[in-house]
Amino acid sequence: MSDDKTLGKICALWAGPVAAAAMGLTLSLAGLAAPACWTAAVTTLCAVWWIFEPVPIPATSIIPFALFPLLGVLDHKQVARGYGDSTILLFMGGFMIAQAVEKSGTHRRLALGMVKAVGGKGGRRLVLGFMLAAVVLSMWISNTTTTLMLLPVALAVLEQTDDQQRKVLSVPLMLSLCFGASIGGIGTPIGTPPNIIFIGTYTKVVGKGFSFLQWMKIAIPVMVIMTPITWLWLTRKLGKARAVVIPDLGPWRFEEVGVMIVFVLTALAWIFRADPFGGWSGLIHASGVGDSTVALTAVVVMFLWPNGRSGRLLDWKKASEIPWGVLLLFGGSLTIADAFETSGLSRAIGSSLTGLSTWPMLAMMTTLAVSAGFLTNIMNNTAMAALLMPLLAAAGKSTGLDPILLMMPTVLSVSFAFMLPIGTPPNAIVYGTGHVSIRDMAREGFMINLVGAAVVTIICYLLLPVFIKV
Amino acid sequence: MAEKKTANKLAAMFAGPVAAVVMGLALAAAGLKSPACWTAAVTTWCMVWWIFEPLPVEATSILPFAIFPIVGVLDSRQVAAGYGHEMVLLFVGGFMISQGLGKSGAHKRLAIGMVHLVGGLGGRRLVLGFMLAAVLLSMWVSTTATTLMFLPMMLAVLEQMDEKERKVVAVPLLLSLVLGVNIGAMGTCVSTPPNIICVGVYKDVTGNVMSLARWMKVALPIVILLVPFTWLWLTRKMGRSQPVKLPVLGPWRTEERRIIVVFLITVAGWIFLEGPFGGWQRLLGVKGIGNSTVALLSVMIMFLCPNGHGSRLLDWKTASNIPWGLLLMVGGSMTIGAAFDNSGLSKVIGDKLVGSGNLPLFAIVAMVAAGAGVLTNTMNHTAMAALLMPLLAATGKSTGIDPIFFMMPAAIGIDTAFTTPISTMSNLIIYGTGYVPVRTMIREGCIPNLVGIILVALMCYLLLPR
Repeated sequence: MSDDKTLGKICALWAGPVAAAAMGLTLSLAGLAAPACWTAAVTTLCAVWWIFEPVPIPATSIIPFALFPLLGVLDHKQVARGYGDSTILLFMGGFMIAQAVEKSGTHRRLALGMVKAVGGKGGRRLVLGFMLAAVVLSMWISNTTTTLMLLPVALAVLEQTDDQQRKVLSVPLMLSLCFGASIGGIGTPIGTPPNIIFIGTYTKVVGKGFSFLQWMKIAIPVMVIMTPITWLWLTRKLGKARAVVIPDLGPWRFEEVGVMIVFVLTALAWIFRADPFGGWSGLIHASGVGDSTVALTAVVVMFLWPNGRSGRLLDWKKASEIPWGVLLLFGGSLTIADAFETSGLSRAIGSSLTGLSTWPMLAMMTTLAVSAGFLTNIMNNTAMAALLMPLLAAAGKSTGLDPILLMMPTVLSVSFAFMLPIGTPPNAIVYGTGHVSIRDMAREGFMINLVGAAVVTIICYLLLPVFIKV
Repeated sequence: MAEKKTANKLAAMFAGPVAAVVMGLALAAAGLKSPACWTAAVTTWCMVWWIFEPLPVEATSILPFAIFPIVGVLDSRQVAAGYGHEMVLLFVGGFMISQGLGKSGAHKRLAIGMVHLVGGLGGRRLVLGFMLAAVLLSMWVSTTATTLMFLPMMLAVLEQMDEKERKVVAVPLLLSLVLGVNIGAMGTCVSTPPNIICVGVYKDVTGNVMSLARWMKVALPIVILLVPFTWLWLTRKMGRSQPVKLPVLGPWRTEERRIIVVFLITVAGWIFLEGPFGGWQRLLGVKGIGNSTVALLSVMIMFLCPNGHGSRLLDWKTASNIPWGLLLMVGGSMTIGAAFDNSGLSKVIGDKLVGSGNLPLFAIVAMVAAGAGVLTNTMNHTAMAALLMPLLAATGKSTGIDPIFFMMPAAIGIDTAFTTPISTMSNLIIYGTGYVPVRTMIREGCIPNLVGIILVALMCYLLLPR
């Protein structure tokens, strides 16, 4: 087994450069200029290695930074700029805020509160309670953390049930956690890394900003529709059951209150930054303020706010535990987007895709949503977004479409990995409990994946044209 | 004790904003525009917190990113650009190389070689040996690259020592590296950005070429005087000590051999990047390669090269141990530089620095050297040079004095900013090792800084041909 795995890795390791060389040679035979060929080759190399992971994903993300200057596509200052994007700072800030929430344990209190309010009666209601908690929390903190945090509570609840009941309840309850986390992740720009990659790439390529509220206008409807559908589907075999006892956490502690105040203010500041009526940044005439500014200000406040036991809401030790490697991945993706533009590869892609603009919009969106939604089950969500976003942005821009029409359905679907444990960490965590087999997950998730693709397509088809016009 | 410490921290925490308000109001009263006042205020705030550390320096580094957009000095995209500076990438790459060397243990072999080279002695002689090597190399190679090169060796030497000895040796040894590379860099106009910018701007403005030989005639005496002084100052508390105990290492292992090869190629890549004869960059026919590219290529190779027993020379777990938070500090100092420029504050400073062209020549030279040498402790040296040089050149021209009398003291003065982690990357890298707190760096660095400024003023006045 282990030998097989090593062999697979070695194949993948070699497949990268080979595929890159093949891609580069093909394009150069087709008459493209050298920088465009190199860009395509480097992107192919990253694609193969991001997909099959012969080296860790963040390590692969260093490749664009190292190779583009060497090959003369971008100079070393230009590649560095990919790492200095305000979306990267936004995500850094968002991660650090989430760390403070975790440190204080506020997320646990919120989750239990929701489970208690909704699910105290047991059965289907119980699953709904957990699912809502997962959805709401993972809008703001990482999907993985959400799942990890809810899991022990859910397992404790399962232990209260008798054998027969547990058999029926365990699969829906467990899956409601990871599916809820994935669905909630799309809700805000900081919910999950692909969202940020979309915003960063879109801003870079189109040159228009993309605010918190703009994202939520499209993503929240998808989230709101998906949640009840998923719940109904998962609990279709569940009847009523007896009430369960949810652990009690005692009164609110000082630091929890502090985190809650900062957090709610931050969320409000994000949402009402530029809208409506110019938002609060218009009121104070601070046009230079971005979402990243809000996030980092909140982080500074948390570094200063006492936690009631001679520490602060956030200390550097906890803050520095954010996944820095993911930030490298963002940077790598933005650098690839830059190279596409600079090398002229985008134009080449555009001219070969002129047929695309004649496709009916609905067909195009459906294709993207379905293929992204199923592919993401075997690929890392973030790496997939890092790869697809520059490509789709280039394709959209050069064929005269607003790239958002291609990018939005894709980026939403990329988060919808419901069928396999390897699709996304929350699935893997739930699978790891042993309560859910791969067959269970695939059977239940297949339908959600289909429904997800449909919902994404319909919402994007209906809302995006309105959005573009504004 | 603990309570006193808390009280101090609390005081420092309030001192930051208070000092900022005072600075801002003072400048506003002096008639400066509001962005310039804000920039000065935020910089003051950061300096106070960086020095007294009521918050960890990494957390303080977030301040410029958060505040500048709110007060309208820079917008959120401009501040982010500071985080996307090629120095940030060089920092990532350089530290990952260090991690790779550390993982294989090969840095110990490098260190032993180096200690042999400087005579195998401990204590003050060891510091002198390393310092001389750093000075000589950094005259020709970028200071950051030189620092990254020597650091793993120094850390390996420190690892060999017992707790007590390490406490005595760590600070002088590591600071001898920072001060050594910065002093060495003064000697030529090819290795450190301030000098390169100085020569470039001088040629643009006057049409005259400042040749390497002319530069060295003035600068080399400064280096020759400053090196022994700095060495004596840094090692003043070190007594005689035993020769360094060298561990006996077994035969070379595969991974050690491989990583040393990668490291040597990297070093060669740094040294010969741009010269001689245009360097290997020109051989390849590309222009955009920087030190960061070399570092990251080397990291890539380490990720790919097998280590001879089933894994790679570098894995992500080891690589991700680099001090990520300091990237924020690099970015923060770049952002402050950008804010100085954008808000017009730098122009005000420049005008003040050279305000009176009819002062005696020595006063001008001394003032420029002192101003540059002191102010650069608050911001990145490259940014400082980029904004000062054009101003000084213009002032020189308008007053009829050869601009080199303004520019060269400023450039070399900038190189004497030894005292804070933010002025040069080398300072920051050493800070990143955790052995040297900000306050120690300031305490040990301020005297050489002062002496350096005096030497610069004297030598430039005496040796520059009129």
